Amino acid sequence: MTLSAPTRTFTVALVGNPNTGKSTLFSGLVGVHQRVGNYPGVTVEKKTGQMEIDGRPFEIIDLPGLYSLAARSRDEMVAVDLLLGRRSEVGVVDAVLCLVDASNLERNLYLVSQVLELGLPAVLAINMLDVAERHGVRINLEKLRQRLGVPIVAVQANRRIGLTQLRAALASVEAQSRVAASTTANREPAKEMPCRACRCDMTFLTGKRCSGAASGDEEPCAQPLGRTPLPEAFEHEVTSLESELVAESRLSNADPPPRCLVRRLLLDRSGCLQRALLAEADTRWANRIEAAQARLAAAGYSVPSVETTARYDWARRVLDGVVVEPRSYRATTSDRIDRVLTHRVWGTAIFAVVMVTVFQSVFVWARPATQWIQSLTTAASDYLTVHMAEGAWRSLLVDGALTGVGAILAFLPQIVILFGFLALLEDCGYMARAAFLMDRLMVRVGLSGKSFIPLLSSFGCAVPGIMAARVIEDERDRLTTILIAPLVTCPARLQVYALLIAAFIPTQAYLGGLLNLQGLTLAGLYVLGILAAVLCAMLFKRTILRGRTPPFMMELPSYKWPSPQTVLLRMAERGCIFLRTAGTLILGVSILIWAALYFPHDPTATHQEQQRDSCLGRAGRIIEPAVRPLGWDWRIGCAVIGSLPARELVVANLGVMYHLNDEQSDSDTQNARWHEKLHAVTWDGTDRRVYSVPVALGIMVFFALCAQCMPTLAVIRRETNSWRWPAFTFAYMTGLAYVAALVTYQVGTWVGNVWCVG
Amino acid sequence: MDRILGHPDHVHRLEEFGLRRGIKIEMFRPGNPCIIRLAGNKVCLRDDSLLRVMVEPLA
Repeated sequence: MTLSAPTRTFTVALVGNPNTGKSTLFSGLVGVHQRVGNYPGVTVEKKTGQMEIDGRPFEIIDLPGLYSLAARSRDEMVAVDLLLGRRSEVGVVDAVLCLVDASNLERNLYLVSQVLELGLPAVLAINMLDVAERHGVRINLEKLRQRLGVPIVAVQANRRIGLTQLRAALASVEAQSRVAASTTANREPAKEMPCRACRCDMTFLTGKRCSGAASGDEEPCAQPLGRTPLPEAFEHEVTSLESELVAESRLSNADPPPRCLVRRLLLDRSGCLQRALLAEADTRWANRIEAAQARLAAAGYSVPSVETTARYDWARRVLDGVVVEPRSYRATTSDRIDRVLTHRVWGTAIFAVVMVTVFQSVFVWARPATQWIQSLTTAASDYLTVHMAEGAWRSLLVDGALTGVGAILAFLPQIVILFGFLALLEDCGYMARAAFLMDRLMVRVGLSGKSFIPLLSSFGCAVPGIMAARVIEDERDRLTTILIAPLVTCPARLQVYALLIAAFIPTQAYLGGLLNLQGLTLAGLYVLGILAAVLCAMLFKRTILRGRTPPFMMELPSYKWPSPQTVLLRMAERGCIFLRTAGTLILGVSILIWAALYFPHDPTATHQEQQRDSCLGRAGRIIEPAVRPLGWDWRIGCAVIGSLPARELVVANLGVMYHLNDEQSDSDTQNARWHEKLHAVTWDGTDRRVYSVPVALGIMVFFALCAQCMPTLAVIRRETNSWRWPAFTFAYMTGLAYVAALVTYQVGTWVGNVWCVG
Repeated sequence: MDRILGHPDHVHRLEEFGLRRGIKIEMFRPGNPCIIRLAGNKVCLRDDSLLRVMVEPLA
């Protein structure tokens, strides 16, 4: 084993309830040395960080915030597997760092009791003692340390107080585990080593911690903890089930599930864990477990409430005499703020103001940065055009790679700024209030209030919107939100709308100039996007993502001052994720589209001939029969295929296809010229015009609903951790867009004919 | 607070959150969803036909 190697990284899992300041503590410990990824096969985010204490390498794994290790949700399952060393990509967890909130110790100790049961060395960090003290809660840390038998460190994560002591505590745990490893490795047979979760470990652990604590000032446990607070009768059932499972696994040569998972099997009434653990859908085990549960219920220990009762009893015993709570509950600052912010009228008004401010700022601040990035890529492509010889390489770099890079980077300012705001709102605790206020609205669509902000962000750009859907715990709600977010109208569509509305929709005014037809068309397209999103959400929640939603429950954390470090780190983290995952894919697709336009290359052909005879041009003509019912000619088909990386590209593609921007002119006259030329476009070989109001409306409706946006699909791939969902999004949105455009064109033409005849 | 009626898994989840027999809770903001305050923290719950929180009024 590598345990004795001197430079072995010591892996510590950071566990805690949500809203205890876990991420803040994590950033405080590891700083910028962190990596974010996904656990393979699940959408749970994996966050790891590196640090060094006295020259020894430590790896900290930030687990998702949990109330329990019940292994019901994916978050919980990942956490349990990881703590038990059952996730191969992380390896063995050497110790657990439990973060608890001082103002809510009893509930936090519930999770702590589950963690201690695992038998791993543990360190307890108590956060926000200052807040608790302000509320009149007094905690005797020394006594708590004696009762729990693990090192306890008071920290203030947001002010980075207590981190040095915490590092020292982790270092001493590491030193002890090294000593223990070197002595036990010689004594015990190697076969026993991986089984860290059996119950003998707990006594071993507690005993060792009491006698051999490095700091020397720890007294032996006044009340040595039981291995588990669960009652004897329950443990008896666990033992008998465990022995049966061990016997079974011996037959099939598989690893038996560790004891704490057996315990969870008995506590689990939904059968999720059974299905996950006992892969062969064996009704024998289900019957066996049900029988055990029935026996326990008969003995007065009904499952699963036996667990909560036992653990809370334990927590109360541990805290008895340790925590002195105030006689009467005083209204805190948070309560006073909440009286206003969760008010139906005032709260909603303030929420609206906050949202307008945030999105206005994102828009105002991101724009110069985006323009700067765009001018930079233009300058780079100009430089390359001048300094490189004409040919495939130059074309690849300028038209393929740089276009792709430009498209990716143009999103970056928006994402970084929006996530800065979201992190700020989240960190100070406002996000939960916003979700509370919007829940009443979202529940009608079948979603919860937590979907509101991601969907609202999608009006700015679907990419950060989809990334923001991470805050939604319920898997189905989250997927639904991700799937409908791209339907919401983003500014990229405005370029398409602006061109076609200005060219084809008459400037007719109603109500004395208060409303005009062009503006109404634009508003109609926005409404179309929202309506489509709402209908699709309802449809998905009733079909593919149907299922019993667990009752909605959300904690409203106390307000606190946001930590600038957390906010800045979150901005950097989201920016990096976007560049890494979406960036590479977009670059690839841009180069592909470029190649489709460039090959087969005929150096003697004019620009227009080259476009027509390229792979893309041929593809456009192949699909012409399919787009004909929409009133499109093959050039529009081509432009649509070519706008696959980003829908705003369709404007440039139409320009290329119809040879619109051949001469240099300022933008106003160029726009007018574009409009004229579009009007004059005819079907090949005839003088019948291609464009009419129904065709233009059809194209706009198509672009309102289609998924022509590579970054969005790439981000869906990243967030759902599979290709299935981006493929589905693309298919359903393209189908929807096609049908809607078809209906628009056919109905529009029919109405037009009736109108003319009438 | 007396007890929670509903599917055992959902009840378990609420209990793990700290909503359990014998604690004092206060309706902070009635309505749907509502906000309930319990020892030191607040939780937002939505009215759900599958779940009922039974309470005993305090004075």
